[in-house]
Amino acid sequence: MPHLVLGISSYYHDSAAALVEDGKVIAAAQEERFSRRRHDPSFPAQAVKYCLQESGAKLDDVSTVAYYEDPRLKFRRVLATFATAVPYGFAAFSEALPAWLSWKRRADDTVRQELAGLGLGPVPALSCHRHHESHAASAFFPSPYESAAVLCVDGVGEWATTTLWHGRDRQLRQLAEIRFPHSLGLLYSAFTYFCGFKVDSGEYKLMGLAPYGKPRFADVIRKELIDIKPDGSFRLNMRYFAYLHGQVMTGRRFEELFRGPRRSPEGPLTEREFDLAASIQQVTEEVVGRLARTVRRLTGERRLCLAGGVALNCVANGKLAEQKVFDEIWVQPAAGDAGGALGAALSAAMERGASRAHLGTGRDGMAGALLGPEYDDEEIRGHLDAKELRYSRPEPDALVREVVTALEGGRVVGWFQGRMEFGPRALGNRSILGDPRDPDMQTTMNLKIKFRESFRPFAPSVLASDARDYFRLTQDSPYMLLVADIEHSKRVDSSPSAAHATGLDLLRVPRSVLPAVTHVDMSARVQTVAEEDNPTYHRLLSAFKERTGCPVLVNTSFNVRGEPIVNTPADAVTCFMRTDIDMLAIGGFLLRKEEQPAWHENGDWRTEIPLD
Amino acid sequence: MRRGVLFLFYFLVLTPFGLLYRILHDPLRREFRPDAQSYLIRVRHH
Ligand SMILES: [Fe+2]
Repeated sequence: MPHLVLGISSYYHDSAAALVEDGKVIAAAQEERFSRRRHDPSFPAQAVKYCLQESGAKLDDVSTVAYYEDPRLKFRRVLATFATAVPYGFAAFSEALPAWLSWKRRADDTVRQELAGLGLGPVPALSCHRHHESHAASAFFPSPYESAAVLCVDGVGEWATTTLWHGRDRQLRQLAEIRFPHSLGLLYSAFTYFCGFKVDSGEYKLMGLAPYGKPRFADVIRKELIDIKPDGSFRLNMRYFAYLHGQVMTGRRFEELFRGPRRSPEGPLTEREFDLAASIQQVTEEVVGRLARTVRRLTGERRLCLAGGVALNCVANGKLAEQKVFDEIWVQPAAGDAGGALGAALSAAMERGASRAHLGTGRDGMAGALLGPEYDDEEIRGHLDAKELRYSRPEPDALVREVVTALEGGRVVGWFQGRMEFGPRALGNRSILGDPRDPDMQTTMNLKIKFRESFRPFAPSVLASDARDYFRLTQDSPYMLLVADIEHSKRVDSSPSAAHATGLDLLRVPRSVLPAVTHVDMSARVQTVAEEDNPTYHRLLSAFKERTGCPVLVNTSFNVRGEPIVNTPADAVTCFMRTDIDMLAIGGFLLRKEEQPAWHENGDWRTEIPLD
Repeated sequence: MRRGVLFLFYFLVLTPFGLLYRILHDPLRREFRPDAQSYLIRVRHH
């Protein structure tokens, strides 16, 4: 009888479910992909159903449900915060307290009720795991390391905002922590908010903005906002922040410090936002770097595992890898709170004697993060027929050849294959692909497909065996979580006039033989693709290399801005028909845009999808 | 009604309690400590 653990994260941001069988990850998915609500925080009913369906198990077969945080401990933190933020926090207090009193403080009971409400049978016993324990477990247990140092940095769960651990075999031992309100994640979010982006999702944009600016505020941040000790531990100066007593991140003093109000969300980006982004990025890298050295010293380990929302800062991760603080680092692909569902499940499984079966195989236990639903060709065909779309079904090799021909001709291709990715990145199963050598590709994809601002760079997928010819990587980056510089031999000299370009004008200066994926600072957010992790995608990259000599493709997530990554064939077809994607390769089928009938929808989807 | 109760509770009970609490022992440890080597809280195992 296999030992099944169901992990759940919910009610804050990006709910998810994960299923672990005898310590092996069977399935994991975020609720947003099913509900089509980005970062959906509600109970992950559909993700739970999917996980059970994937394993063929009933709820009754699950021995434990593992919840990703301890709601009672979190409630105590919330109370302590309200109590000591007096007398300024009444608005936040009266807004939040009723929900905390009625259900949030016993969110685990709510989870139990929701599970019972699914009608899938009796609900198994439920255990709560602390938020950072879940992050640490998601970082260490699926890693390919027998022992490692573990660093988790995020916004906040219960009290901890930064934790240091030592992982050995099936055990995780916590060494130290930093507690709320002192939080690197919340500091970064405060700048995200101040620069006019959405907290909890705009952090990525802020990071993308950083290379356009100069870190001229870094000293002010270090002097006024954060006191950083040599070991990387820190405290924030709470006089500048509003998240203890208000419903926003920053207040009047913050505005005075940076000479002006926060940028309004639709307002223009100015030099100040570029420089703020560059400054907070530099401070973040400094803190993460110091903490990494500390956990190395405390554990004596040569390998590091990372999780928590801050571990999605792939620029900071790249610096860490480049500086060789550790021989190697491994980042949980779902480093944010969705990964907490997986971590809680793994933690519960290890407590109950499960093993880390992937150890010794030289691979990690994440199966390339391809842990979501898959649809067979019959299901796909049924959907294509229902929508009266025109398609062909070439042999697998011919399909790859036709896709390569389209890509080489400057076409944009939707690529829908196999199981959906777990975590925020598309890794070649729900991706939109293009030719990175095409100087117009970045603009085309941004404006015609994603309908978004043009300052954000795209990520390259590269054959793992060729990665070091193009990127200055010190290790593989299977989950697109390390940024690396373009190899010098692949850069191109820009004209003298280009040397004076600033801000967004930098975007128009050619920089390398891969213009679509080269950021203005010569960096790229690389995904290395190994055959073992994703044979189908590897075959496509190999074929593209065979034809063009270039082992790299532009890989962006299969969605438009503000929408979650597509999950089902229906989602993919809708996205394909709404946008200027030229070709769709879905399972064994190939669709060309010019052959399709006109697409009709009720209402205007562009106004229905909220801006991200 | 509920908001009124919360209002009275907040300003008559929580505010004096919270101010005192924070003076005696700030659970949020807001103070900077220039003399300290580290802000890390070590976790003890038994
Ligand atoms: Fe977290």
